[in-house]
Amino acid sequence: MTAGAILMMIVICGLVWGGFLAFLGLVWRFEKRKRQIRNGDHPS
Amino acid sequence: MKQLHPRETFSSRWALLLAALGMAIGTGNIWRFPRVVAQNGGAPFLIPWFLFLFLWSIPLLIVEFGMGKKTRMGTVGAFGSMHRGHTWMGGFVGFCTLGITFYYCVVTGWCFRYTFVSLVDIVSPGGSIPGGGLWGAETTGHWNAFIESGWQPVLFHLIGILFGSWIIYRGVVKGIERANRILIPMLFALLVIAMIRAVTLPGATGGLNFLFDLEWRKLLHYRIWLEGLSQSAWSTGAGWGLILTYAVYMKKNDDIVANSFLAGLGNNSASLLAALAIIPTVFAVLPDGQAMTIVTDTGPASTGLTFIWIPRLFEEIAGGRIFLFLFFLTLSIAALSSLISMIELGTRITMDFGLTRHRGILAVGCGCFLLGLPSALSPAFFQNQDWVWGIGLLLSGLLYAVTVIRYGVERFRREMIDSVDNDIRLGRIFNVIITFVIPIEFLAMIAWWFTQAILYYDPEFWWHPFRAFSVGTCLFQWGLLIAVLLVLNRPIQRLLFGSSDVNAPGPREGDTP
Repeated sequence: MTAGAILMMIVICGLVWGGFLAFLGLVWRFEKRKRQIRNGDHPS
Repeated sequence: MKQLHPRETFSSRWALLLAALGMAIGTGNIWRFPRVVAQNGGAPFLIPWFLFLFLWSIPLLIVEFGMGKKTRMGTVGAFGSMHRGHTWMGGFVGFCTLGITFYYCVVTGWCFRYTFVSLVDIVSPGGSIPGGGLWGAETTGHWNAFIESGWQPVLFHLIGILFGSWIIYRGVVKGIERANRILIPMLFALLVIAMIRAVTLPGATGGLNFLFDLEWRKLLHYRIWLEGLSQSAWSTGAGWGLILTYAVYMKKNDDIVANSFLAGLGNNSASLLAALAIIPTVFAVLPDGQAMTIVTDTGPASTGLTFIWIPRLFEEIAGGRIFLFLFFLTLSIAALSSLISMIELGTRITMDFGLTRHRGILAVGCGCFLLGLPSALSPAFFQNQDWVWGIGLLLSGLLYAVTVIRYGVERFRREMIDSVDNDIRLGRIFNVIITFVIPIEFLAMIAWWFTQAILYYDPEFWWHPFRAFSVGTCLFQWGLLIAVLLVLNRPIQRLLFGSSDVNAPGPREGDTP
């Protein structure tokens, strides 16, 4: 593979898959925090 | 407002997200995306395709989530709740998606049939397969024999509807939720397996170079941008009314913005996996010149690469029979997960009119079977419907923006999106996108596709209302539908909202429909 293609692959796959996984992680954290608030063991 | 039957809700946010992903990821991700990427030069296409996810698809997904969650009604009732005079717009959006459902059941049937035949081929290699061999030079003959048999596409069309309707019949939690809990993880796992297999084939780097080698000059061509926008609009399901339908079953405190981003990015992730599974395989098996011709081959009803070339290509790789079965199984799962959201859209609309879920499914299922028959029997009719309602979806997207503008974009954002339950707050950029960017994108896309029809698809008879790919056939079928819906606008309002509030502008600030 050419260096340009490798760089572009990292950028595109990073943005698309990285974005998806980042939002999955974010939602998991939001849900965890909400669960803690519901159970009364969160500082907020 | 009528609320005759107790409404189910998804049991958790994850269940809703899996359903949203199932809706968004369909056959288009697997058979259209790799072809369109190849036709538009690979990497340069991926940039506008990714950019327009944030400028068309995600904002419209947010609007759909907001309308469904607030109004708790299907497309017709949701648009009517926003503004009584816009009830017909909800009818257009709903019928446009149902118009696609009629032939999408047929496509699902094709996928089921090829999955079945490829499984038979593993169990009994070289055994007799109806319509001739699935492999080698016989693939075109096999496809033609299948389509021309008449009874086979109709039988598998019926199986597709029965399967999809059975899932919807079981309800939101036991049907939609359970099905997507199995289908979506399986779909991603199969796509990852297929991608790993493809990129580790000897010679796969040719395909990877083609897919990711960026020629900056190509970005100056307007075609790349318009194709990227069109693919993003069609692929994510934004503006179809499907997410609006699922949002009816959201919990009151569920988030909208992060869910919309996840659905959009998940859809694009699946598309990229599919492209990485298919394009390197083509380049690994064939010389570069031939690979380019094949990967861009549209074929009859856009089936060239999927049903004709994929079986030929998989014959050349080790374990090809098993991978061919897994490929069609993936395609069937993608088709089914989208089909159930389409059947639910129709069912939800009938339920808003007072039918029970079971009677609604019966009506929608029978309608889909009968109105899908012409597409099952005639590829020309199939292509016409794909053209008319595919382009119609762009108009559906605009109707969402128009309705939110009429309601007040700032008010919509404050009341329906940036509520206390939302995890992420939208900025004023949302107002700009809905008010200006989406209408401009719509105008650009409609001008582009109609110009294509006038200059290339049917230059002599572009105005003709009874040609497969003419501008005339779009305007005729849309015009007929809009005329009927405008005539029925008031009677529909009375049925949905009662006679007292027919002239009402929609819910006031703070109202909970």
